[in-house]
Amino acid sequence: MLAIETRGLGRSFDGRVAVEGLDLEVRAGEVLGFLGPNGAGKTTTIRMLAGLIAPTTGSARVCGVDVVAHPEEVRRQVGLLTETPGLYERLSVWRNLVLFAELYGADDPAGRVERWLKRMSLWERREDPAGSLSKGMRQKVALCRALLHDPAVVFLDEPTSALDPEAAGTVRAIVSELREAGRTVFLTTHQMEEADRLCDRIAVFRRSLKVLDTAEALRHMLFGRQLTVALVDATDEHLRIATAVEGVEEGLREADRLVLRVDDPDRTAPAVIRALVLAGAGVRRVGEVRQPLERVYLELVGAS
Amino acid sequence: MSRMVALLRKEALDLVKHRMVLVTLLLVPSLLTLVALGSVVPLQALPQGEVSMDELGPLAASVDCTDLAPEDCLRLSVAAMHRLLYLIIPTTLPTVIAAYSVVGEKSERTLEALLATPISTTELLSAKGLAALIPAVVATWLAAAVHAAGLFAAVGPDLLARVYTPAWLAALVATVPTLALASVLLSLLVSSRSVDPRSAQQLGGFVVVPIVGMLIAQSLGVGVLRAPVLAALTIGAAAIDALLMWLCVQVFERESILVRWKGM
Repeated sequence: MLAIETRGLGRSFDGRVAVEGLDLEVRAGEVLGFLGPNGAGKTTTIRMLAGLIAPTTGSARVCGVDVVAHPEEVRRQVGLLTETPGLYERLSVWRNLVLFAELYGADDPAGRVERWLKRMSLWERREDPAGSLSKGMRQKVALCRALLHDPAVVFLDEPTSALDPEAAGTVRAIVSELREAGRTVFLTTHQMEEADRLCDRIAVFRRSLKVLDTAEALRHMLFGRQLTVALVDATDEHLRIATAVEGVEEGLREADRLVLRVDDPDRTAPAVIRALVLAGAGVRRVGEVRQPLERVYLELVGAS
Repeated sequence: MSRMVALLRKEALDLVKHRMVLVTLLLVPSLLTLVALGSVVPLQALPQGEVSMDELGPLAASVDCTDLAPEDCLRLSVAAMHRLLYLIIPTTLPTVIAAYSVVGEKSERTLEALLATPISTTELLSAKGLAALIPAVVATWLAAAVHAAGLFAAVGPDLLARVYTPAWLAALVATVPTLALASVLLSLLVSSRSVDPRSAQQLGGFVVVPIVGMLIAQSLGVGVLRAPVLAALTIGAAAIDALLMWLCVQVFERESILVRWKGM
């Protein structure tokens, strides 16, 4: 079942195109990383999908509901963590959250708020004015606010940007829990490692969708699959022997390390090791090269 | 309905904690009541025979001085004229609250989260409007009660009864809320299209202009605080309220507010 479905979705502001031709399908229970540089149109896309602004072209359905025809129903079904926490600073943390639980029409607002504050380790600060909290704590309160009503789809706009490592870890754990609970998470972030760790698929976006696939598939698409073989005193002869093995497409030597482009590392690695050992090479380590997602992202954004 | 109540409760809590708005809310009625009483109390020291009806001129013409001594007529006309301050309070006070209600949400960056909830535009505007209307009307009534008590102490029950006539009491009940609502709606209308609370407040304050005109007319002896004039004022304000209410819902575009918010 699709949680989010868009067809040719676009939005212009006074003739300036912010988003164009977005075709997207996000499965229920999926965590989608929506990556792009600042000003790429990510927030505009989220606002359209959350029923806050209407598209100028195309269509979108969230939880099966048309965002243009029934924006109020869409807003009922989604949770949104905005770019800035946007809390009522003079009100207590508790009042902030109870208000939103009531606005979302959630049953047992007090119970829900208590549960989330305890989950976020904010229970002791519940009576404090929201304005007195640290930036990270405010972000956690805003995250509570987005999740209070158990939304089927959650839009998280840079949820860990202001958080210290511990708090960021809590947020990531919550995202994982949301996936396990079958919630769909639409995540924008500039933390590539976070996206790599949390997201089932990655969409790279800059006004329009550039690619959409799993992080692994994007790596393979851009860089192919690579084996790295660390040797004791590697030579060009070792490189020649390794590249002669069936399944090795090309290779290069970096000091005592051979980097081999292969079609299937699981099948090729044993043959490469066998050939090198037979040639008297001292094999120290063999592994598959995993390009960081950041490199994949920069390649794709740069290319666009 | 429950969403509107939830937001109304939040607005009330926020108001109590918003020192600047709260001080304005208390200060304006207090000062105007002081002015109203302060203009009558010194007249108590006026010796008998000090003024004549002829000298009162237009002042006496604006009130019913039948069977009154010239000094009492002067007291009555001054006290009666200052009643208009209680029509100024409900037109000025709500602008302070209402102007902040949308623009304040924008500048404090709370509006997007609020608009992301299923609250409807009507619920949102009703809550914002009532949150500005109720304190302004209550503050006006309390200030008028203090004024009446002060007059009772200063000039006695007979003159008080001529100031707080049934027509004036009806005006307090009906005209004050309708004028306050016009002021609230105009402020909401402006603030939903504006990015600056001050401009919203200033434009919302336009409602006070006809009341100031009435104050001038009363001081010139026109006698605008008679029942037919007050009834016409109330009906006119109610008609304007209906028009402004319709305009508010038409003009308040959730989307343009969010989009224009970027420019702040």
